[in-house]
Amino acid sequence: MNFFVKIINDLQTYFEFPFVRYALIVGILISLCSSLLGVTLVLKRFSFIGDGLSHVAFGAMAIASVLKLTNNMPLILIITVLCAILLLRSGSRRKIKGDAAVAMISVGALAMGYLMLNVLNPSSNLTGDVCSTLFGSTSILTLTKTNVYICIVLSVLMLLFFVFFYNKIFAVTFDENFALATGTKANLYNLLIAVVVAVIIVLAMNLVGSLLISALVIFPALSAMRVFKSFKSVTICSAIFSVVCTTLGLLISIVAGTPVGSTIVAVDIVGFLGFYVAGLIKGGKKA
Amino acid sequence: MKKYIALLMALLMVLSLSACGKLEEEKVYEGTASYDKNDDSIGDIVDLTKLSSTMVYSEVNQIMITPEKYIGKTIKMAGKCALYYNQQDESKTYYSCIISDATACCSQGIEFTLKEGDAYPDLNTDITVEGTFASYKEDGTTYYHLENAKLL
Repeated sequence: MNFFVKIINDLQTYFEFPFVRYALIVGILISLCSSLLGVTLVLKRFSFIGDGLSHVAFGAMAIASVLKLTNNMPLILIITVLCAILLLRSGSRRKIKGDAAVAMISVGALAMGYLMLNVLNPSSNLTGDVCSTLFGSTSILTLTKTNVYICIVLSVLMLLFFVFFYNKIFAVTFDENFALATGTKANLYNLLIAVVVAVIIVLAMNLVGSLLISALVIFPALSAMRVFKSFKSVTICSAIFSVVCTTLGLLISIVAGTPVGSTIVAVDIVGFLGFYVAGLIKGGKKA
Repeated sequence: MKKYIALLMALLMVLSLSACGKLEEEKVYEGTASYDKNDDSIGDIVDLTKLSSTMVYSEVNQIMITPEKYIGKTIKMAGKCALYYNQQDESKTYYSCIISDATACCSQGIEFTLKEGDAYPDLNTDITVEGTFASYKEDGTTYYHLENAKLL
């Protein structure tokens, strides 16, 4: 009992710090956005694109470091969005297709980013910079006010996009050809989805680091799919799952002193296992 | 209709979150120094030894980003002792208390200057140091350190 009282007291103390409250606000917004689009990405078999774009974002961050930019987010956003459009641009004229293109850009960006940091980085703490970018470290707890405001504005735009274009996203996700036949501009919506994914990847880099971003996109969607079947219910469940796991992971890492990104992903994994078992029980009852 | 209600909700949610951010901004100084609840002069003491490693790293980062807000505060921290030598003047040695983040790949620290006559610890020794956060100028550059520090 004393243990829980101590944890609650610790949390009360920690919430007096503005950067903890900022982290919670940004964490909730990012997890909400990533989970909403995660369902679409998983269903369209684009899960790996999140991983590829996160490596591109790492490369862009390396360029920003070399250029000594105080606010690196705009540059990272532009480069990642351009790569997302390049990767998701559909069409039969492309010479390097699908997963090969993702793998090539992903590995290339990672390698070039690390090379630039090694050769041109003005900071003496190379290991720290790389580790912090790849695994998130405490990035979410060291956000500047500008970063927080950018995160809030971009998250609102993501949510508006999802709410306004819910039906179109639904149509493009399940049957692109049918959507095309009914007059929906599937290519345009695919492009918009690519842009939104890129923005979420850049935002999520602060939360869990570029190597762990895919977890935020995949786990909530896959967990919800174990229990629910309709697009709407999976999306809602995925959003709630993601926000709860991120909040729990963030609070655990703050109290226990564990790395933020990997703690959030660990909570996601536990949540997924719980939903997997719940899905088996639910399936068993139906049978 | 549902779409517009959802849209309105999203806007309200975000507006309320933005409002929280603005309030916090005004309270930043009070908040960061107010966690020593047993002390009446809470605003003047920043005790980093009571925080988890993740929090210590984040708070030291805050001190590094906005050092002017911590000038005159008594800071108490625990970490490893690190030494630096002045390349122009080798007789000058600087001592710092270094802390690492949870992934153990990033580290930050604060320089400390002990009271006259006190003996400095050896390199990599685990130390707890308490001193007043202050700035000083050297070769035209402003540095920050804990002055009149004592080892606990």
